[in-house]
Amino acid sequence: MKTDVIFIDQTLGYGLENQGLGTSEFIYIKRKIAAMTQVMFDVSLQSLATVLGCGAVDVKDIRAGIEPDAQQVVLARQLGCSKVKVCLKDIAFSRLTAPVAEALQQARTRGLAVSLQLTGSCQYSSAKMLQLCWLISKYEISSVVFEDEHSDHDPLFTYGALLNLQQQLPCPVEYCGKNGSGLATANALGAIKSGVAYVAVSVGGVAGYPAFEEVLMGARFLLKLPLAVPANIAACCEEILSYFGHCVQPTKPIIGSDIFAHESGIHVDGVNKKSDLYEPFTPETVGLSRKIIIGKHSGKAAIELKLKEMNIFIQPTVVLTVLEKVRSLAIRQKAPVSDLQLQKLVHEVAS
Amino acid sequence: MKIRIIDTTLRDGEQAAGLVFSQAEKLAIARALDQVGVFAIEAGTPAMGIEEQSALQAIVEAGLSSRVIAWNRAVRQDILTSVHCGFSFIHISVPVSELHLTYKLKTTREAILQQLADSVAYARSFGCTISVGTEDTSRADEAFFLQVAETAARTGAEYIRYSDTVGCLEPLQTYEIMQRLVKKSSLPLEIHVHNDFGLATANTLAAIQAGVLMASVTVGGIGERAGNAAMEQIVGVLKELYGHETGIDRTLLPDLTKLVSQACQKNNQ
Repeated sequence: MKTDVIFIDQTLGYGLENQGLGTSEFIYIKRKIAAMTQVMFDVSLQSLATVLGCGAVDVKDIRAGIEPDAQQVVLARQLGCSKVKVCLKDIAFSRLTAPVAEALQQARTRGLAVSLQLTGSCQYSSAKMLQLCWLISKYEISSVVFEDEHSDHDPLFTYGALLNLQQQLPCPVEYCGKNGSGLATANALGAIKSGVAYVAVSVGGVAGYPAFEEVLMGARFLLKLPLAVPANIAACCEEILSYFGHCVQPTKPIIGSDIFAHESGIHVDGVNKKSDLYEPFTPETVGLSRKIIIGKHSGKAAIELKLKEMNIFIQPTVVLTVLEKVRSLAIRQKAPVSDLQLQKLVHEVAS
Repeated sequence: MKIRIIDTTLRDGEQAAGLVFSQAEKLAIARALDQVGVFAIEAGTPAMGIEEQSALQAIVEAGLSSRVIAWNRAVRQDILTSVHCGFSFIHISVPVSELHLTYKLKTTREAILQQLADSVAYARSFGCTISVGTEDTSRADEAFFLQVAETAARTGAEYIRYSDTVGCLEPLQTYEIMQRLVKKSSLPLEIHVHNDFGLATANTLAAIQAGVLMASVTVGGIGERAGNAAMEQIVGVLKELYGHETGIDRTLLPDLTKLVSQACQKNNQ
């Protein structure tokens, strides 16, 4: 397993193609993402041309996505790109069509770093693997991107297949998963565990890519890689997603506002004693805060804790009576009990 | 291969902070879960109070085909309350990690084993069928988990739940752990995971690939913090990727999801 991971961002490309981001928004979001982690941006050549036509954009960390077409190679170079990603769909590596061969030759001649994006099964016959190795050497391909376009793979398969590819291919391997089966984050972590250092992600999982924040935190805390997690990651992701009109769901892993909200008696009692009993990482790690909710599932400890926070002191003997009233009220109103309501209940019981 | 789906929407799902199902909603969801064909419905915790007991009694008396299970701490009074509600399927949960034993319960492994043995025997004395839950298992010593499984088996429990309580497993690790435990455990295993790192579906599937035959899920993945494994996703992927059957009628899932989603709406105060 590599200790360094480079995230290949798909958020910005998605924003340009589907959300009509302007140049200033593009630059702002790009800076925001780059400030969070080591990243390279995948953007289609067409979108990039539009943005560059409207202002100065630093392209050194952008990889232009192109068709296997020599004219697009030339245009990418003219736009200042040093990296291109060429999408090849199910081609015979040994018998490249003339346009594909010409495009790869042009890219090589012009000194562009070329990544080949391959879709479909990444389990090749030994003959096809040899052909791919030949192609990589002949055109000095910088990396090969394996895309699980239809979410057909699970983490065990991804891990094994990518491990095998890395052993056989003479260039770095990248992984681009999709979330059609809810396995995108797991597959990306499987890829990292197999030794892949370049993984495609998008903030909040937009456009169905592995969610950046989940892969980063998983790599950091579950795979124990020495990656930095920005202390404001939740707020940053939320802001970026707002440019696309996306709201962060309260229970969204890593960045949702309610992922540190506790109501059940056992959990509140637990986090009060030691937070890691019921929290996998601290709220501060991602810039969120803990919330204690009083409601149907509350226990005695939660009531005592909340009243202490509110500087209200009652006899220990009446806490259970307050708790019963809290539960009844929460069920009656089908909602948690507010601080004001709790105060009123305490007053009722005390008087 | 048939995988048994144990739904905990009405217990762990409802424990999502701020969520309250009314008695009518709980009954309607239980009926819908029964209709889609889940193996078991973990309906709630009778020890929570009179209102919850009344809601749970209505579910028990609804004559469902699915098993209806009550969740309990390993406490005699809790178990007795469940029995008084009419439950014949009793789930008894004990924490097993050193973290939980030391900081939450301030107890020892020996004391937990004794408490579990007493509780299972007590519940069995009412003729109940018992499943045992182990809390925070993914951060516990595997040898102790196996000891708990052995104690549960010896005292008459039917199966044991392995819980990734704070969602800190990753799938390749889950697969390796489950491969070992499936071979060594004295009881069949159920996998119960949380979604804190977005890995609940993947971890559940990894456990199943390793030979676990029971999966704990909630509708829509609702649950504490970032939630649990979502039934729709698990059932769909099991069939589409692996061809495994669950007995769930997938054509009824959209209606079930809609019902739960509506019940999740809070009243404005």
